[in-house]
Amino acid sequence: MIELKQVSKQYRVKDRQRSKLKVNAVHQVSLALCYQKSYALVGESGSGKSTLARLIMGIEKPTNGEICLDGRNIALMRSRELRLKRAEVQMVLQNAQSALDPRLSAYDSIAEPIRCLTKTDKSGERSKVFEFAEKVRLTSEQLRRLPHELSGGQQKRVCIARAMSVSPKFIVFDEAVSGLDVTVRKEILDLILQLKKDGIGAFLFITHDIDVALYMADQLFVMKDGSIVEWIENAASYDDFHHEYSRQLIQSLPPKSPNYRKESVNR
Amino acid sequence: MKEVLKVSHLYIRLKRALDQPIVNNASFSLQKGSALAIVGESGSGKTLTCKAVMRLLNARQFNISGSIRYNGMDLLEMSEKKIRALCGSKIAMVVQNPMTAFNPTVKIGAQMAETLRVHQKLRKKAAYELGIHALERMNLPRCEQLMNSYPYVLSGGMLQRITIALALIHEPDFIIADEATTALDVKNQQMVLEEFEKMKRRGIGLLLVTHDFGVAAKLADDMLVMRRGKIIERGTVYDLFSAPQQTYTKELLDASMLRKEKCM
Amino acid sequence: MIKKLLKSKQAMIGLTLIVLVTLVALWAPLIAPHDPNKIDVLNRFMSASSQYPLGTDQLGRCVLSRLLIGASYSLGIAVPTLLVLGIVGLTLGTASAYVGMRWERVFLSICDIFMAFPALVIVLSLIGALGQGLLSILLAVAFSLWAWFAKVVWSYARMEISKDYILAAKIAGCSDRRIILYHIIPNIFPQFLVYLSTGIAGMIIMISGFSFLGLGFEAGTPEWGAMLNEARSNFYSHPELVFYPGLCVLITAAGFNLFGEALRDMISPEEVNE
Repeated sequence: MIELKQVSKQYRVKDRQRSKLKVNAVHQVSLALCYQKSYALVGESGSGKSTLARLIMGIEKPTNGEICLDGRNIALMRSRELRLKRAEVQMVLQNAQSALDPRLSAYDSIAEPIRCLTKTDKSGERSKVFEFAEKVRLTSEQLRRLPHELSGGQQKRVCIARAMSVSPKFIVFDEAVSGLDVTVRKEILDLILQLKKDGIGAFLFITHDIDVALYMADQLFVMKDGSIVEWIENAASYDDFHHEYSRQLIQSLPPKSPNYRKESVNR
Repeated sequence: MKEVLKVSHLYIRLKRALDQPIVNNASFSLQKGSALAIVGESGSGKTLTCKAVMRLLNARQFNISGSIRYNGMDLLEMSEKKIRALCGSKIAMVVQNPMTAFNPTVKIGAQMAETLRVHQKLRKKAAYELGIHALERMNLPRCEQLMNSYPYVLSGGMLQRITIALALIHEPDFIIADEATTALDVKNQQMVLEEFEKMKRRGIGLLLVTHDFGVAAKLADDMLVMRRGKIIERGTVYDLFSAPQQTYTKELLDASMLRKEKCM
Repeated sequence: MIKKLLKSKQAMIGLTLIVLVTLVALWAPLIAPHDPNKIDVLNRFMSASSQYPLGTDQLGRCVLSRLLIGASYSLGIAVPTLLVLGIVGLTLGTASAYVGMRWERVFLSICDIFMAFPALVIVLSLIGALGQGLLSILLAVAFSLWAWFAKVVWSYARMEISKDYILAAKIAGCSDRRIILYHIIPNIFPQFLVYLSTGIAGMIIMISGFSFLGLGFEAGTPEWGAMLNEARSNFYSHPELVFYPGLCVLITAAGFNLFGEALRDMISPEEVNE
């Protein structure tokens, strides 16, 4: 269970006059995410959704409020305890290419959490890496390659396998499919859904795309300027969105088919 | 309708691998005031085709054959000087990432004025005013302030609209939009798409390169589907959406429109 | 990488020069035809002959022998100093960049202070305190250069740390020590190697410069800079005595520079290919 209680994060920004401005990246957010469900968070760029992900992971500290993992406030955890919590809550970053150490082979990248977080011997590590590589459909030949020798979709799959290699209870995906080709995007999304069906890791899927959010999860959050403006349980279609801002977002989506233009001409 | 661009039998090959064309026999034409969408995955050769039209491909690296006719002139045989004068004035391009299209350390206004002065002999002041005028025509808010700001303080959508304003100044005959909205979020994307729509109505041809069928659905009249350098399907946007012939097109369309199977 | 290096002419020329100078430095006592310090006043300023391949100097010492031994002085100081500087630079640079916050600012200010200090002043005061000798030269060079090395490493490390894979490593549960040793240092090492190999050239020139000014070595030491200084007074009558040690410094410095530049081109291939 991940709980956020009245969490705010302020950044101090220096503008051109060198006066310090305070920007609320996340403002008074309260959430409870349990390890059995899947969630999606929708917001525009600059809405604070990535900051929220970093707060949950304990990479950044909230200015106000507290974040609890299984009832323990992460601000009060020692760094070692927080580190070990990573075995339970993992994250996949937006840009797969830059999220992989350019010197490490795909195998080493996937093995990294196993080496750091568990006491597994070489052969155990090997079988685990191969198990998860198979799940994300990477061949053993691809595992030997360096990141720049893999395609964008393959890099993404390495990242996903890395996050899963310690069998976490919960995975945060931060814009995991933006910038990918539609076919690759579909493949990755389906892969994540399939893995969830197999019982590995519930997730929080952060995206700017309402279509993707609807596709991935039933529990939807809409975020605007650092605040959660709408929370929908069991979202199935656009009709489930009621907040004014959510409606705006839906209206700005590109059309699903060109036929609407015919209609407007006919009218 | 008047044809502004006609590409016929275009082949693009890498000089070191002449037997495998990266763009294989591409032919298409673009009418005045209409929009042609080229869809395909990355690596399908769509960006390369656009670059060939703008003559941006390095002649030492690429071998290009076929013809690219603009108003009856073959762009492939034009002198370098002529083509540079044409590109940016009569043929414009909007690229994927507006953040990298601007120099981050120079104010927007100065950069616009500089670009304008390349094509027209203008005094600095006159170029600056022309720039403001162009921004105003795009209905951008607070144009004076925009001209005085640095690129990094503006959002991607705003920058993209500025590049479009800049592209429109010389009344181009057609614009190539290479994944122009891919890096933007939905709201900004919508604003940019609306600008494109206005352009169409003004009679400017639009060559849309995208992997997003939604963008094509909004703007395009005709569509091409490219795969591995070949055009595998073409037709009006209505036909392609309602009755795609190739399985690959269907796959693309399916992947682009995420439909949830409610079985979980 | 190594294959590419073997193909590059520049790198090979550089490497050949480096190997040559290193071999000379190591074997100098064996291949030197004479005792470099043996004074023979009767045979001053002899021209090249089979007995003295490069002639003798103003005190009748064999020039070739002195030059050969000189190589071991230059490299013998430069290489250990470089190792010390490399270790100090890597540790302080990466650590301060990784820890960040206040420590980083303190570190940068200290670096700036040291970088503003002229090396010569440090050497003069150190020699005043410690007396002439190898140690004071070594300390002086290390003292005046460490800030440059540490700051360069810091800037490389800063850049790497801002990349996502460091964040990903944290999420993967790496300890701080592992992130520094396993992710940051290996990724900045190639660039740092380039800096080291171009830096060693500067260092050799610096050491020769000091001894040219008569700092650090006792009079009569067969060090290239010192030899230059001694030959200065006879420049008009015997310019070759100035020329030889000068050439040696040039060859050594050029070797390291060529190699370092070639290495740099290799590490950033995109800039070269475009």
